[in-house]
Amino acid sequence: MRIGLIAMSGVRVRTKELAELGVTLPGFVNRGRVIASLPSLGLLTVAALTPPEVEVVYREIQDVRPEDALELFDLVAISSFTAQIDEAYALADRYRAAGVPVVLGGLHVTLMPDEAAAHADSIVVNGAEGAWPRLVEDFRKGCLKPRYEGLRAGVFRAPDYVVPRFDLLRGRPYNRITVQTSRGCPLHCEFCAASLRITSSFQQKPVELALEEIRVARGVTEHPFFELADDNTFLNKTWGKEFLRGLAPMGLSWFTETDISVADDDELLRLLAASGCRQILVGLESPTADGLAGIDPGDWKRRRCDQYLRAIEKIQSHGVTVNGCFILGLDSQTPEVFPQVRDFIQKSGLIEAQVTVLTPFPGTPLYARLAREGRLLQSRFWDRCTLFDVNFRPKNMSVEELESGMRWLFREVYNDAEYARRQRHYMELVKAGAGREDPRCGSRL
Amino acid sequence: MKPNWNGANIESELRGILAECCRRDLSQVGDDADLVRELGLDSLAMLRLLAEVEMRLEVRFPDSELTRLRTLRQFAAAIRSGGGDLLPGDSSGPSTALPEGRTP
Repeated sequence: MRIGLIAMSGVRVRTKELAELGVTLPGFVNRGRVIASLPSLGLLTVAALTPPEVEVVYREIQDVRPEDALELFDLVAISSFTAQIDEAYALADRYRAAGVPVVLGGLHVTLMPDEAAAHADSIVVNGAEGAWPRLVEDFRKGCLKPRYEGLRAGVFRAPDYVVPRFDLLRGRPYNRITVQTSRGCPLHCEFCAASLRITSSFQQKPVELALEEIRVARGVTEHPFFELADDNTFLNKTWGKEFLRGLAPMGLSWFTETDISVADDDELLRLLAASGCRQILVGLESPTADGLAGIDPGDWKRRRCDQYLRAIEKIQSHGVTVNGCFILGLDSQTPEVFPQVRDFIQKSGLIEAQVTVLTPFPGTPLYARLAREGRLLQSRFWDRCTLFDVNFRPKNMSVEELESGMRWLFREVYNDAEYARRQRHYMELVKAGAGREDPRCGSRL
Repeated sequence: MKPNWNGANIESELRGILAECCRRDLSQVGDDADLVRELGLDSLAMLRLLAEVEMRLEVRFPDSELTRLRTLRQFAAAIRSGGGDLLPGDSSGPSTALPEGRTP
């Protein structure tokens, strides 16, 4: 038996003007390219959950050209994010028309199962752990069920835990490899459409398993840069320190996402730098405390806001850069937010900044609330869930003000002079850190 | 006294710095090799390399050139055209781009 695993990947902007503007924005475009070129960790996990006697073939959507004949399999599994789900459905329909049974899975499918089921012989909701082996077994017996539910807890425990099949990436031009050390995040931000939607609670991979995965993954490509596919890696500082101590001897360079509380712990920051962490992406969301009201149920980010500047400076002084993320269009923001974000980015010395528009992904509490309040511009807009297209009526500004303010801010933040200024700042941070005890902070690339 | 890099074999110096920072065999990497493509250096790694070169050779690349520099020969040309001199206002201390306002 031969199973085709097809990953939908890529980041796009639908609005023509933004796309044209984006072409000239180095930081914006670079990050988009990075995201677009990441392998699908979910499908590599599906491959590992497949019985060894079954052949699995990993493909990316770029490999499946519409003008070519379909590569046929006994079964096809497709995973996609929301923005490309319509293309995934079209591909699924094409395979089914050719007589190949299709399974759909991933975050969007979990959040919109009934919609996805119309394009598939079977769907997998939540993670693949606990579902995929049963699905393959049923398929072999000719009794594939229309829906399988994966685990929402205990995903990193035997017998359901597996090391993803990183070997399937061998020979492909990846220079970044993703490894997951946790699923979920207890902050439960209203807008978040990440892994917290497929978990019942925060799941942390045991340190030894996480390190072993990295050892396996580093063997498939030369000098890879690692990206941890986590929502919030360093919630547990004790776990984090043990993980970083294990990681440091491997001599890697890597990136992850976490929250601003890493700045509270000097030892953690030293270990981050010593382990080769080059950048952490932090969801700052808004530059003022007022703008953060109600983002997370516990108001954690609002309470942290007055420490943002100091925390960024402290983290970056250890040689770990911060990619600060801001969301435009939050309910408490007015048009004043655009210059506020620009001023904050300049004042903070952030090496990189990621500015996006509030996006009501289907299945999130934000989508439900905006739908309830009659503020969605359309009920179905999945191909516009790009993080750069406005799909709702903001509370304290018009749609046009949000769109034009975002374009103005892009020009202010991503122009060549600002980019050069941030680059120079980073180089000076490297120089300032070069005399530290750990030489990795300075010279190692 | 500042070093004068005019006429010196800067490429050789740069190769030594690169080899030390990369910790790998660079025998197959020519002076015109694109370091991003050939060595897989990401944008931050390129900036760390430039910072290291600035420190060791006591030079400063123009900020507007930082993105353009991708090969050892381009590094060397930029140093030669700058005469190896430090630019006005340069120092070995923290960047002037550090945030002006600090929270308590």
